[in-house]
Amino acid sequence: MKKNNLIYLFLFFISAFSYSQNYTISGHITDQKSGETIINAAILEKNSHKGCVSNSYGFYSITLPKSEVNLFYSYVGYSAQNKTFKLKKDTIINIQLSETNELAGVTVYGNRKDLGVQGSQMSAIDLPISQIKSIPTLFGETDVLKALQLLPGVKSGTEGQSGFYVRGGGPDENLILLDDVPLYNVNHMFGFFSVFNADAIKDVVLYKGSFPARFGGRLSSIVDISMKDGNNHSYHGNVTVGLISSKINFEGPLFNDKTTFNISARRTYADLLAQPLIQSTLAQQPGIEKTSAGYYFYDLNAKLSHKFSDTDRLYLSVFSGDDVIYANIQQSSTTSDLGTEKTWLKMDWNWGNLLTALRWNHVISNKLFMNTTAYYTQYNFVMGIGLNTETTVINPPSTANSDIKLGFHSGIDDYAAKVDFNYVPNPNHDIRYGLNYTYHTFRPGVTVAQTLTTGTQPMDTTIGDGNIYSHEAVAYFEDNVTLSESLKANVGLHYSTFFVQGQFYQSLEPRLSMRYLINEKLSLKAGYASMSQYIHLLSNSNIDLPTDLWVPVTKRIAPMHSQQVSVGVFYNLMNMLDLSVEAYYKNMDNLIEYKDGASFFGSSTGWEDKVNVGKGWAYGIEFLAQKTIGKTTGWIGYTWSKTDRLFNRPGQELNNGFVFPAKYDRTHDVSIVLSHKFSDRFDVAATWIYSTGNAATLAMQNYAGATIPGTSGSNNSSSTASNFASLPYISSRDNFRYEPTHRLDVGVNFHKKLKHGVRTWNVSLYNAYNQLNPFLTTIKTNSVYNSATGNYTQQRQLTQISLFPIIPSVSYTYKF
Amino acid sequence: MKAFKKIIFLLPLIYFLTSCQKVIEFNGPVTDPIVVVNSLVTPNAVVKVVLSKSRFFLSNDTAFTMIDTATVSLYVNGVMKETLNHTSNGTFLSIYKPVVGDSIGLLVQVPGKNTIQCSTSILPQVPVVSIDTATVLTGLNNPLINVSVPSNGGLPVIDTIGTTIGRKMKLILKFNDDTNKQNFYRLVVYIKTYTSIKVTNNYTFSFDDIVSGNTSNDTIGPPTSLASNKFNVFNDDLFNGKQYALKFSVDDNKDSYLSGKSPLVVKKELYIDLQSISRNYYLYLQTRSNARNNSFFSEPVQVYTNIDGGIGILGSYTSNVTKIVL
Repeated sequence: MKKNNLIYLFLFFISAFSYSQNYTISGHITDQKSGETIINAAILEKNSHKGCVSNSYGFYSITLPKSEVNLFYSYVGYSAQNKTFKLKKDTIINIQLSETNELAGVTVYGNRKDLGVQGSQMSAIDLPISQIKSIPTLFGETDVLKALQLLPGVKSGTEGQSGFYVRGGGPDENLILLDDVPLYNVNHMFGFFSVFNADAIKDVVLYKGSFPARFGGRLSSIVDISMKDGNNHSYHGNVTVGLISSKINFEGPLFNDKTTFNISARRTYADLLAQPLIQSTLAQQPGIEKTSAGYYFYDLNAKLSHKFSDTDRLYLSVFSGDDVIYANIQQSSTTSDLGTEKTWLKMDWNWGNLLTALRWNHVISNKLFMNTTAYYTQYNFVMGIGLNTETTVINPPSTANSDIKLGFHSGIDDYAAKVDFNYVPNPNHDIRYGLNYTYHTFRPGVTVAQTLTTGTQPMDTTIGDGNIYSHEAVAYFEDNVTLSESLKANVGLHYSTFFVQGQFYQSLEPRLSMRYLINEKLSLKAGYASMSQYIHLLSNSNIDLPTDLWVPVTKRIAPMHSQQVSVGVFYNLMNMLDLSVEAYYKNMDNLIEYKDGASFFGSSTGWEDKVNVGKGWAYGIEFLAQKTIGKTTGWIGYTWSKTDRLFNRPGQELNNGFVFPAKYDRTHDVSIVLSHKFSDRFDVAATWIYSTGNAATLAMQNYAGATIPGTSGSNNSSSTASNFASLPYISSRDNFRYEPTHRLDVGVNFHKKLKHGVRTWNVSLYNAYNQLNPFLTTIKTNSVYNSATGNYTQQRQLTQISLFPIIPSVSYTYKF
Repeated sequence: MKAFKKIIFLLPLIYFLTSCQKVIEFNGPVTDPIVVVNSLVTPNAVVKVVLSKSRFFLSNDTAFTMIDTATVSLYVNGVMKETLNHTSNGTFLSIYKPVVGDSIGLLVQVPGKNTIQCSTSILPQVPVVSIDTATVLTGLNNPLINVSVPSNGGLPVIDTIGTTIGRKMKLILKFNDDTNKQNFYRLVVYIKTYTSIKVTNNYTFSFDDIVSGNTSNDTIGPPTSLASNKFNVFNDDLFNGKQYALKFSVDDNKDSYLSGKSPLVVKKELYIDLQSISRNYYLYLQTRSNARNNSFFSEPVQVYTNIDGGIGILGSYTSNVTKIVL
């Protein structure tokens, strides 16, 4: 068997490199109008039926024998181009594709060739940003992550939150890459909005399984988000004024067409609008002299790119986004005979990301493309509270000052460098390999307390854990190999190491994704992926808080691992409708769950004692019908799935060592996303979701606790039925199901062409039929008067709290 | 007309703001009451079993229903010893007094319910080696005041009868841990105060020790909702098979009286009881303590039970009590 493997490997490399008298055609494919690179455009040589696709920088390379060639460049929604010539030397051909006129009046969303029927990749979905923008959302804020929640295999958590759960994984098991750089905090406003400003984004791809070897570091999903480079021909932009925020986007050439910029900014202004109300409310309080308080978030995306030559390009990407809570209150009180006291209270909470990436694309040869990236990514939470009191006493005359400051600081910093190569020796192989090194600094949380009071000893105390430093290194190799006309595979290996606090972990992860083409419209696919994860997010159960902390694995808490197999059938109907059915099974090991009663609130101290380690598994079937061309576009998705956890290791038991459903285990999830373009002036979009209710833990019985000797009251020998401690009885974790969730969101767009651009009014209704979906349940106790007995009796009722009733919103966009 | 427009605008707004909370029907399985068995056995004392019924969480009852009709059989080392006598209010008592080393089993039969079984073992005393005490003054020095109301109904009479001085007793209790098995402990410390009219127990004391679950480091950062170790239980994970010195302290006041004044407190005794407790009792106390401290941000707590066919606890504890006259 080993001998056979060696022979196969030998033949494999022979076939890869044995082409003689071959020449290579290479170049970049861009959009003629904007100059943006086109990812995964198809290049087909019609005589030999050999082909390739452009990579994520628009670069392509195809090696063919010396002969007459007929190259066909195509991308959905764009006019195809033909190039016919005699190939007798290595040739560079840069192609500019223009949007087609044949499909005027209809919507066309790009559909990547590597992800559809023909591609070897499975369990991946491309969501063009134009489609994401058409989806109606909460408060009219376009949200990339909430659009992903509508895809099969992806579950939302709490209603309205951006967090998502992919194929049974947790919210910290998703690697979210912005221009190849990981982003740690992807939410604003406690998770109700994501940090991604759709105006700055070109493309979003979600991988749920069969991960290519170039990705790693998380168990459950990769979200690969590409920022726009910027138009290199002319200046364009748009301004949007919405219900809770306004945003601006501006792009164009800088100095000449070789340098482009794209800048987008967004800020909420509820705090500014509410300021007069806050001030007038607080002004009614006695002694208030000056107030300002509020909450806002902002984000800024900027990208600069420069083309030195056909072989060298440089990109600088910057993202900065923060949430801010602030309060500034000045109060004074005067007592005629004693004196005055003035108090200043100042509070600032600030949390957010900073990301900077410098990337250099270099075409080493017409077969070998290199991308080098150096980046810095940071998540920071800073909390500061200050209280200053000045007391002036009249008799005897004296003045005293008190100054108290309390600060808290936590976060994570990554410095990283990576190099990726894309080698295309011949049309049958598309090889990628690379190295990645990351230096992590985990800042688990430090509290600083300072007091300076007249007549007392000053205090300056710092409490908290020291920083934790770790080294993560990755090497990978993958080949997208065409084995025959029908059989294509993406095979790869991902090797990762993690070194923290004297502990060394490593993992070798094989990856495979295969496609068997039955005919041009129908294919079967199968995939396998092994993944490892070296960091955890310590978070509370219900909502995202800025105090949530990323921590590395330790000696006691080993890295998480997962293995996933998936199979699927893919069918393309009349080049308009992509249908797919995928089934998957995933097992996960070394998962952590919080112990009964444990919670995290900003301190990682002793976090290992607050979690238990166990395993889990998930399986399911996903159906997707996606229409990307026509007046009506959108998709229908359905997921049937099951996700369980088992924590039965000695001392690590949860649920008494029995299997229990994972937090967001839901059997059925349906999503329908439709948009219809009536004309260039009017279009409508709607989404409808239905899902099984979330699981929750509910004590369905109460019972009398034992009287414990050695406690107050234990000597009372006359225990009666009413004086026992009442204890909750929970039969098992997640033993209760909320009512199913369903909701309809609708939005309409009114476009009008103006002199210098197009204006769009968007009117949308979130939760159009006002369905009150459960957020949580509580037990409410009312005292009811009984007129017959003259006594009050207690009445317990189960009360459901919902977050979002029907919410209308309106926004105005001017695009030029 | 303007007022009408305002109403048109305000009505939906009020509706939306108030419509986010509603009373719902419980759609889960409504389970029958479960038999609750509570019994904590200790050497040389009769076995006391208290039977009751759990109540549905939406029940409007405020008291638990005690079970008075049941057959409770006591098994010692696998042999049936006796049927317990029902006294009152769901309480059943044995005649037999267990001894160290006994394996205690209960078989409970309640009409209309499945048979319930549970068991535990009586553990030996903890070998306490020594108890060291040191007392420091806290600086508190206040007059001791007696307030008495005259029998004829006049104004209360306030009389200074002495002084009270605050003191902190720091104690170190050394004991040997059994190497061969995992051990579970509970420390009970209280001051018994005798006055001329009554005897009271004060259970206030504080640990200064990591094994006790005192996690003072968790005070950093924003406020935590860490469950406290209410019942002062701990195990030997950190000192298995070794001698361990447990540190704790007790706050107390020392009273001194002016001559001719009658003392309010006749006598004070400090009791230090280091109990050897069964694993099931340890888990019960630990989870029960956590359940009482549960919050919105923490995971719900399943209170441990070892009652097969019901819920509750059959646990055991063996005391080793040291008395110090204060």
